[in-house]
Amino acid sequence: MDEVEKDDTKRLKRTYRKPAFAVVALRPEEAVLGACKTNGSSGPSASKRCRNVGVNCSSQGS
Amino acid sequence: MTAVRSARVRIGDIGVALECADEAMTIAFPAEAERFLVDGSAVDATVTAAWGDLGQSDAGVELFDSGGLWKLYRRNGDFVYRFRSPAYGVRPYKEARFNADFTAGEVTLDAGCHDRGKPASPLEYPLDELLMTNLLARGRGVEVHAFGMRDRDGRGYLFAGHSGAGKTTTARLWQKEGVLVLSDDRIILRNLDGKIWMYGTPWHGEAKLAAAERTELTRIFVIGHGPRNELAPLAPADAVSRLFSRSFVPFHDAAALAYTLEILQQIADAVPCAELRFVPDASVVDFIRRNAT
Repeated sequence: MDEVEKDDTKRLKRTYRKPAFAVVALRPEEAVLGACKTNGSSGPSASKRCRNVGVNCSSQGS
Repeated sequence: MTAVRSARVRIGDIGVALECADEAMTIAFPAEAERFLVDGSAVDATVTAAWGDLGQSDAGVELFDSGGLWKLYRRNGDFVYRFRSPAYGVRPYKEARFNADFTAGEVTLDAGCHDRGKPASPLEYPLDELLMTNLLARGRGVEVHAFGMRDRDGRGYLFAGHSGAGKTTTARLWQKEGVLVLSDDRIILRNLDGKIWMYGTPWHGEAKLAAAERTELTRIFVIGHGPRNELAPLAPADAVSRLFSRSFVPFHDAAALAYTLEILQQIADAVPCAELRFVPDASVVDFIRRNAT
């Protein structure tokens, strides 16, 4: 094997990296579209401004 | 908008027809949604709406509890969403029943919880978005928690982030640059005709930015605040996991989850992704334009 072939072989080989888990945070309270962010609670509650019934919520779950 | 008895909305090139099945009902849409109304285009789903009494009806077998406004049930092969508000106690104020592929649905608004003298909003949030995420997850695309825009040179940038990551802040900074903002909070991504497209949606954030437009996606940024503007490229697998955690997916449906991962993989393979740490001032705009080539 000449020098060029040896260099090619080195480039083809990759360093082995053991598989590993990576934890990615999920925000379920956002992802499930269950709440209205504007009034800071789950859907219409004490705030009449975000009744979610007949009144549109301007920052819905943002 | 004048109250009507039927309408068609098109979001992400997905059409939904809404019709009143009750002669006593009219419907109206909020201003942000009106720009997504269309005439005569093809529909992917048809939804009818009527007044009813939800006080004593059986919901079905519970599939999923959002922990907030809604629960999902299975009833005679259909999916049933029931919506409750603390304002009305245990009585549901709305129920939406869909067939298995979400192409047909019936919305019942509880007459005891609504003023029947006013136009109704049968698809009012979060039902409209729930319907859309189910339609997307059945082979059409994915909705992500992101600010999306088209820059003056035609490049489409997506800035994905959880609440508080800086999407609205970023949107307001770019808006001053005269770009087209598709949405400051919710973007639909689709793989069509060999290209990755991003679409504006009516579900805006606090900046209230929404456009019924689409643009080809050039770069993806997963954003967060930092002491300086800096970019760190993401490998596709890493990008997929980060985008998935910032996507709106029907978590009760294994096939939908599998498809969502598949479409995100397609997107991550086609579009360069990077983590963006940014300073919340105009310097990030120049930084992106100089570095996102």
